[in-house]
Amino acid sequence: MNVQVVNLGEVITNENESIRGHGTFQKDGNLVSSVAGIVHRVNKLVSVKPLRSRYHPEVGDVVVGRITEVLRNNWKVDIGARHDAFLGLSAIILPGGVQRRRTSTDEMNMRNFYKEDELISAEIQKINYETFKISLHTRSFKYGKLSDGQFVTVPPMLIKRSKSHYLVLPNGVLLILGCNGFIWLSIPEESELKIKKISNWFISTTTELQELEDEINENSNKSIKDKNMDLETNNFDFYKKKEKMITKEQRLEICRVRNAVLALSNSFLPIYPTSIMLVCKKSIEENINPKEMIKQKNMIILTSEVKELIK
Amino acid sequence: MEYVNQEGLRIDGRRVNELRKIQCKLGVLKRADGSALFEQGFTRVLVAVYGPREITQRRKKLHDKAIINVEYSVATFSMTRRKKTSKRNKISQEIANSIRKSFETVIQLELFPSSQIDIFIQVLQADGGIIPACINASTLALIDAGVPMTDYLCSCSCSFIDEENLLDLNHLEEDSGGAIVTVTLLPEYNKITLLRVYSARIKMKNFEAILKLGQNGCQRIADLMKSAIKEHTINQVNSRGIL
Repeated sequence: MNVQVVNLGEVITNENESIRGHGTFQKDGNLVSSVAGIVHRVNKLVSVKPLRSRYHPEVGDVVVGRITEVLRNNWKVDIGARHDAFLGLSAIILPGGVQRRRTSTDEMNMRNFYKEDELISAEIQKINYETFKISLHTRSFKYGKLSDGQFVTVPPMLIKRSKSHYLVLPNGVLLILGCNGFIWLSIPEESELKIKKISNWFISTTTELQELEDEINENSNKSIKDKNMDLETNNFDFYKKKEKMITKEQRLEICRVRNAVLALSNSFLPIYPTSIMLVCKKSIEENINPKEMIKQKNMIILTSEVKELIK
Repeated sequence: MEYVNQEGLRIDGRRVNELRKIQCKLGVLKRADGSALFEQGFTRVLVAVYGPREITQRRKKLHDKAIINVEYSVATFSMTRRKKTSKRNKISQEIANSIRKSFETVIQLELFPSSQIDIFIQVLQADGGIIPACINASTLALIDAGVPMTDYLCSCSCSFIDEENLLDLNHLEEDSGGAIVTVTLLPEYNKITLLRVYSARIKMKNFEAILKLGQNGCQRIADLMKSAIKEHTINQVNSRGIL
């Protein structure tokens, strides 16, 4: 691979020919790197990206976050970026699905919606680059409070921005891939969904890959529709913590997916439904139960197929 | 006690201007944004860096740049005798403050307004040259975290004992009663950001030679740190599935 790796303080080029981007600064007429990383060149723009950094938010990203504070008319959400994000009271769905002006009663009732330390999924609405205020919104049925599931963190660069971040995998696990590296695993609401056992499932042709993706999208859309039904009622049921009946097999599947995510993150491979399913499938083939998937030697075995797919 | 014998060897067998063996390990703590384990001889320091992130101490918030928060703590098992030192006592706070001020000169704080960068320093083994080791380890951890800086920050201790200028003291030499000079240097600019002289007084005629020795030592440490970072970066690039 042809990459230029620079150290801190290393001269990249003459300043006259290039525009300086992130991770660089001028010194004695030269362009010097301020981080240790890889040089990216786009025409004349030269920037250096460090190998590890915090999540860099962009408008339209789906993120998973944790409520840290309840303020007067908004919530402060930790999304693992350089600043905490804000979720305004006017940016959430009110019970009953009505669109009305938020009153002072709503401000008093804020803890009925979201309390401190609760997990939510939301979308980044706008970023004010002068005050670094990141605004979130949950104005769709697929966003909102997350409960009865498992939370995993991975480096944010592993999650590429794609069409849908709210996915239901063929083995019945609901997966929310936050662009900030925060991932949520759970069981979707209804069981009308096409749940396939992983052992019956192979990806050997591109048509099967397409079929798999279609199935995931279909299941995900069904799950979103079921969430919509809750909104019809005019009380706070939508925001209440639901006690889902999750069976032992479902819990095992969630664990398997979670360890698959960790195995991919350990080898620094991209995390998206196909790669996760490949790792899960491999774990069944090799008879590795979820508990043993996170052992170092098993992780190498599991991610070998994905590495080949990437190349 | 003889600190430099007739052959010119010190207690641990080094020459007067030799550094101790330096080992750097980066990315040791998985949850921290950046971390480093730095060993200089038997002195071992572990540093975790978090940030830039949301500010927790509202009173200290600056609208145009980030603040640095340094916490310096010494493990109870790090010295020759078990000793519990609080993070809040005057000495720890003074050390933390001086480390913070040194880093304020190198980290590009203007890029992160209203944020905070946390540097948590834990001394695991204290065998002399603790503060230089803390500064070196913090530099490595900050680079691991991807915090933009204008230069490395390298540090080294030296002294004048037994009519000789010694470089990189261990704790026996530090306890000898001679003056200890700690130099912190920006290697590219060759500028000193922090200079501490303590334990005893030093004569003016000796001072310049000791300072030069200290700067030389810092430059050599800088070279070692740079090669460690380069190796670590290349290893990471090669081991990753994607860039």
